[in-house]
Amino acid sequence: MAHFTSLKSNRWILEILAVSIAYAVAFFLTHYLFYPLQLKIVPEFESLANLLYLPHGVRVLAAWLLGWRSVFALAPGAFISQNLLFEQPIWDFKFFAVFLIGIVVAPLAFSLLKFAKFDARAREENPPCWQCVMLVGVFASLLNALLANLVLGTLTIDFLGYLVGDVFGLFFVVLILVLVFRQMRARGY
Amino acid sequence: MIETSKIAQLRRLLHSMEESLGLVELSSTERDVYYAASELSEQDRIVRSDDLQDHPLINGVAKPTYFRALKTLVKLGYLHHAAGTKTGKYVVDLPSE
Repeated sequence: MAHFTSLKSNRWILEILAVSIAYAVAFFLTHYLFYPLQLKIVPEFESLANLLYLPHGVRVLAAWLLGWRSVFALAPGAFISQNLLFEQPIWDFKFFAVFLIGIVVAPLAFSLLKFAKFDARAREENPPCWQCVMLVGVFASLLNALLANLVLGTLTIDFLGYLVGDVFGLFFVVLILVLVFRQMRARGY
Repeated sequence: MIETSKIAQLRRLLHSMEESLGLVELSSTERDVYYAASELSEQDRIVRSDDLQDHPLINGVAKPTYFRALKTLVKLGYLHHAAGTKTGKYVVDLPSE
């Protein structure tokens, strides 16, 4: 029994580490590489939204695999990333709201769609369907944009920017993983 | 990593995307050899090359093409040599594993 509990807690620690690190890497790539590039390529797009927001891909895939456990797995990575970038105190309402929305929105989207009889979660009985995951990603993005815009009171152009960035981000993350696994396969892993 | 089944689920998802986008790297012969091996492995985990060559899917395939396909499948990780053998016996690795 103790051994089982230890295995389970080890698995949780690994999940938190893997997902949080993936989130932090995606976050910093987005803000320090893709966003500056975006400003150079489309300077006329006067919005704070990233048009390629990789963290959305990480949170959707984490929620697809782990369900509501992804909230705990994402929390450290999301908190540290956001804190380092915005340097705002935790008790700042907007900071905390954006943090909370960000980690909850993907499992919420999966659950709401399951409630509407569209179950796209990773289950043995569900055949893998990347289009379904993308669809949930779009729904999660809409929820995220809606909630974030409510809290931050941002403009319609930001709303569209968030949506575009999230969808491209999710697709790009899945594509990166496809390439990584292909390389691993080619090297015999 | 996290948990083997989670990684397997992720790989299955990515494989479905590769298939949809036409990114799967196998030729039609390689695919046929792989499907034949997968079918034979349902009866016995270790697939013998002789049995594989007799499979209806492989019947019309020239021997050099067949062996090239086998080699590619091993290189890409779809098949691996059975323990203690260097040729003739293979074990199927499902893309989801």
